[in-house]
Amino acid sequence: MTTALSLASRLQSMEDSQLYAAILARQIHPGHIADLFDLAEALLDHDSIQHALAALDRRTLAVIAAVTELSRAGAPASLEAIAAQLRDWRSPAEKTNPSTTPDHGEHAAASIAERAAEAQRLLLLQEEDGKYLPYRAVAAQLRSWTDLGLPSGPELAAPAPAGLLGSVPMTDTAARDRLATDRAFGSVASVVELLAELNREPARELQKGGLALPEAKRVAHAMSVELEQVPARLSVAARANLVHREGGLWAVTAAGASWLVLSTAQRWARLADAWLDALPAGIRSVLSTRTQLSWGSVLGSTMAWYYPAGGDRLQHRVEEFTRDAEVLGITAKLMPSMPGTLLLTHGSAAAGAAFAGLFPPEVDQVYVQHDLTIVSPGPLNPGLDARLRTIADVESRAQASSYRISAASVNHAITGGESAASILEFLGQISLTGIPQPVEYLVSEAAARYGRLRVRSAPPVDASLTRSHVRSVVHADDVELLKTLEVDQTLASLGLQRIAPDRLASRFERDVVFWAISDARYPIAAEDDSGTIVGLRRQHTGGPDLPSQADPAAELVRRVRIRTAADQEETSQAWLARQLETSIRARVTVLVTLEMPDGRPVEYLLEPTGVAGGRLRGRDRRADVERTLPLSSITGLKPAAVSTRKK
Amino acid sequence: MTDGPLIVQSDRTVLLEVAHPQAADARHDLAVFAELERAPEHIHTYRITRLGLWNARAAGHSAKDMLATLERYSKFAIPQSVSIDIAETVARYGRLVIARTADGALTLHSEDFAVLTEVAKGKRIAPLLSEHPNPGTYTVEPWARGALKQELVKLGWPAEDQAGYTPGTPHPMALIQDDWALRDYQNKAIGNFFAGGSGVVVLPCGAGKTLVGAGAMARAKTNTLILVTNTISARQWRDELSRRTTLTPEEIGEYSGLVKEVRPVTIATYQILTAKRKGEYAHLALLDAMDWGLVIYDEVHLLPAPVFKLTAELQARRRLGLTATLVREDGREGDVFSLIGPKRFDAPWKEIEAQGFISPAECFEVRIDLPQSERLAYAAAADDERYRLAATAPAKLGVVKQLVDRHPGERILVIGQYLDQIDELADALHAPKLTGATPVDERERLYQAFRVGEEKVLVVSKVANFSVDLPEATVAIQVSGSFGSRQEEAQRLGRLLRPKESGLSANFYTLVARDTVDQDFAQNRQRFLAEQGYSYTILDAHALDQRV
Repeated sequence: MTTALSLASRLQSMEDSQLYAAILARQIHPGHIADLFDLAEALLDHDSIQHALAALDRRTLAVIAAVTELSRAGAPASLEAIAAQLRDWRSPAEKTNPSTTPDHGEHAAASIAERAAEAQRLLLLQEEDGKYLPYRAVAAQLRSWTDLGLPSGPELAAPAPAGLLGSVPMTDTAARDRLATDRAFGSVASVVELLAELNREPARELQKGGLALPEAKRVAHAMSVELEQVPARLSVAARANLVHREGGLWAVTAAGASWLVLSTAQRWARLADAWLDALPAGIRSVLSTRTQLSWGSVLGSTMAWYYPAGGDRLQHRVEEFTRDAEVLGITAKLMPSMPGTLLLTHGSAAAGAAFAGLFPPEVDQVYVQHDLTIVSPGPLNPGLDARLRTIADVESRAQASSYRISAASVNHAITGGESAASILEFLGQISLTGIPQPVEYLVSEAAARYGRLRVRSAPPVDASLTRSHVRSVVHADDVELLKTLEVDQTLASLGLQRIAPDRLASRFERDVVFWAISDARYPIAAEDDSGTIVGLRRQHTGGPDLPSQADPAAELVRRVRIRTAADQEETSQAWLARQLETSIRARVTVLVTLEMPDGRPVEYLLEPTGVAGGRLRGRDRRADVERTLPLSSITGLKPAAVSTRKK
Repeated sequence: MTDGPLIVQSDRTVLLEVAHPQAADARHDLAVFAELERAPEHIHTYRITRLGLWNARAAGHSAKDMLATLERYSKFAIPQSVSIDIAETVARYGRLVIARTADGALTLHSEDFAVLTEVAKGKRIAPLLSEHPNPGTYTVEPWARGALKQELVKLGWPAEDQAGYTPGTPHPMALIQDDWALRDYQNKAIGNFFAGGSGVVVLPCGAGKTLVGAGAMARAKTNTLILVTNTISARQWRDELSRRTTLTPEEIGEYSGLVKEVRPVTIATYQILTAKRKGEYAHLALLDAMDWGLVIYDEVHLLPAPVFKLTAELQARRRLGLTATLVREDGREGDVFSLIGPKRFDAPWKEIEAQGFISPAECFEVRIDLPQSERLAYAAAADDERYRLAATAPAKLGVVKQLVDRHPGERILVIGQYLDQIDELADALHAPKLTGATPVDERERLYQAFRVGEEKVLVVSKVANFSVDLPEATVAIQVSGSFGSRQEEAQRLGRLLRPKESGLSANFYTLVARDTVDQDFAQNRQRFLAEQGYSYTILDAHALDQRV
């Protein structure tokens, strides 16, 4: 039988990445979980199982129900047996209701295998040698569904009723497409800014979900959207794998970086593609056959059919899909736009091409102005935009974009490898009207002054740094400049002390010193230990703690692995004790291997009842007698059901 | 899409490509309903605001006209959100109407009962209404016409004021246009004002706002109260009216701290109007002293907050606001709209300049490296001392002299913020100084000497910022100024923009201590001018000799 004990054994044999993925997928809260047994129990907890089942679509649930049904006989189910069970359940429904939608393909072998594998990954089914068994708690949960008003196995396997979605009258399609175009264009633009901002500084996710408020405000400001619009943009970007969460921080992925060099229409196509991929296959096929319909409440009822246990979470998911469809211009006012229809019927490439004709065309020339702004009279070619962003800050972005060049932005560019000559050459190439004198002056001056002061971390061994707590050193050839630094009131808190004519020391870290001096308008650059200039990211208050903040799921994996390794290293007794404790609590039969005094191994099929005084007490199921076995002689313990099958 | 000069953006900004062949036409049509926000040389930025749309609606333009303008000139498709927003916002104007019944009672009425009911329930509106004779009408308290308009604008339901004006006591006057004539745009501004009832005319310094005022008076032919920023300005108005109209000195009174004359045309300062004695406004009686048919507000962007309150009670009189900019540092543009009236005429500086009525100015920022001793003193100073140290750095003195020498024979204003610095500059340049402590008569004498060329250089404090007509100044050297005020920068440049008989172009220098807060503040001020289309050249003080 499949119990917490066998699940714990399975967890032990899983790769860390698999374990991590399963914990994330099952949304297990690390809370008081100390070892694999605790984790197995958490995974088999009633609420946790219901939570996992609720997220599954009707067809996957049908596969689990079939496995559960077949497991009544105690034997694991093959894919063929599962398919047969599903057919068996379906046939009465098809006979009594000929109007149902034929979807035999969904029960094809490949589909069943895929769904069973998914349930296995979610730790709802156990697979061995291509056959499946449900965990006992999962089976019990599914069997209780009808009491909860949820569908039975036959109902889960039943075909979809026809006409789930009804058509509505056509409205003004031109107006709808215009609105969809505005939204599609705006969404792509705001996701570009989201990525740029996360590139500049990752954003922290709260444990309870969602961005921390200051982070959300920062990101909203960068995207020029309202605070409440941030989650949709983040969800759209995450779904397309442009951003990901690591260690509790949202950051840009490699895919995100390459997405930035695509055209606006191609960028949109990638976002829409991800949306489409995430759409459950059933819903997708329904939508693609009926494009002239509203996605209002009927979409909710369709989703409710496909996700029978979805509940509030389903409602949320429907809202998320429809919200993101609106955000991406796939729909406008809940009706599919022309490119949205193409997306559902012909895919993202065709839809992207349709939007390409509706979006403002890209430009590759800009106006560089006296007020230090650079304005592109249309969406700037992505390659040029990417380079311009390294030289100037984006001020506004819509159909046209505005950038502002400043001493700080030029310094940033120079740190990134640009020079005054390369910046001016680039601006000269893309400017429609040459480079105004103030811009040229700014670039030349900033470049000339850049790095006159340098700061680096104090070397660990430096005879001159005998003072305690020296963490960074500022150096310059311009001794007068260093003198100014020494007396500067705004830098007093850095405690700069002269340690040589051309060097000042501080007890603060390099980055802190860099930003303080930079904010005081001195031309400073940061160096690494080899003297190479490096670019620094400014941290928010409390920032230094952010990168070290662990991803809770990763932390849990680490914790249970350490505990398991420690248990096994010290003695196998601790691991054994936890196995016994779990089997006693679950009242499951186990196969205990005992080493006899002559070294010979003996196996007992035992239902353990307790541990006391260094001895295991239990009922021998074969001999039907009570036994007490010395714990010190037990060399192995396996769940009986699994071991029985192996025989 | 027409590939036109406009880019209409979803954030309600409209960009105008200046070099586009249709740019002039597009600008002309767009200015009707969008506010010019920035006008650097290549791309002008307009913003579609509620006030702008209501201003346009008040002038008789429909949402359909405005959308047609955008469609006609737009390069890309108009974002639908903008189209909808324009239609909805414009539709809000005039749904409520303030009118007067045959027996003289003020009413607020609307055919949209829902809107009327909604606003009438407002906590701040209900006390302004007295009776509700029928579902579409409320009676307005006699004193509440201005306050009601203010509150309705805040709620987003601007009322159309059809309650009319008291004609005022007639007082005949006319312009004497023997050797001059009102320019076309001045006539247009006057025409627009009278067509609209009350409102604001926006013209740059030097474009003849005083003459627009005089023209309006000549058309109204009624007792007129003119409110100005200071005594010097009052006297310039008096002189100009005496010279350009049939009014005699006896018909024009000055009501200021120095003189209290009430005559058919009375020029009063904001300061005297808001002066309090024992907690009460001491000169309120002036507002009712004569039956004014016209009230003119000079430099309406400087109108002090208490004057708004007083103006709320002057709604029965026709009001004309004059200003170079509607931008108020206190953000009370909505009060100008509701209490003085909508904008009736606007022209960007560069356009007037292109017509040759104001002289072009070249702007320079001169960056000065502080010597090490001054640099050390600056670094060692506390934050609150730094601006003063940077602004008054002795290193600036030599540069001022150099610049004065570069413009021999020209009329030069040297402008400073700090009295010590002004003293030093006056001594070093052997030039007279003019500060708040200079008596009014002495100020007038010095200005006059400067105008006629007896004095070539004047060292002035901020008293010279506003409303002083110094047409022959061709050079201004700003040594220090207050913290980043956009208004101040515009005013200072305005001193130089008056038409020059000499034909010389104007030069405006700002001296900035490098790597100090001075540079930050200077950048702020310059940005405003650059956005007005004045290009800046940055010079290094140490290289001044090498530049022509």
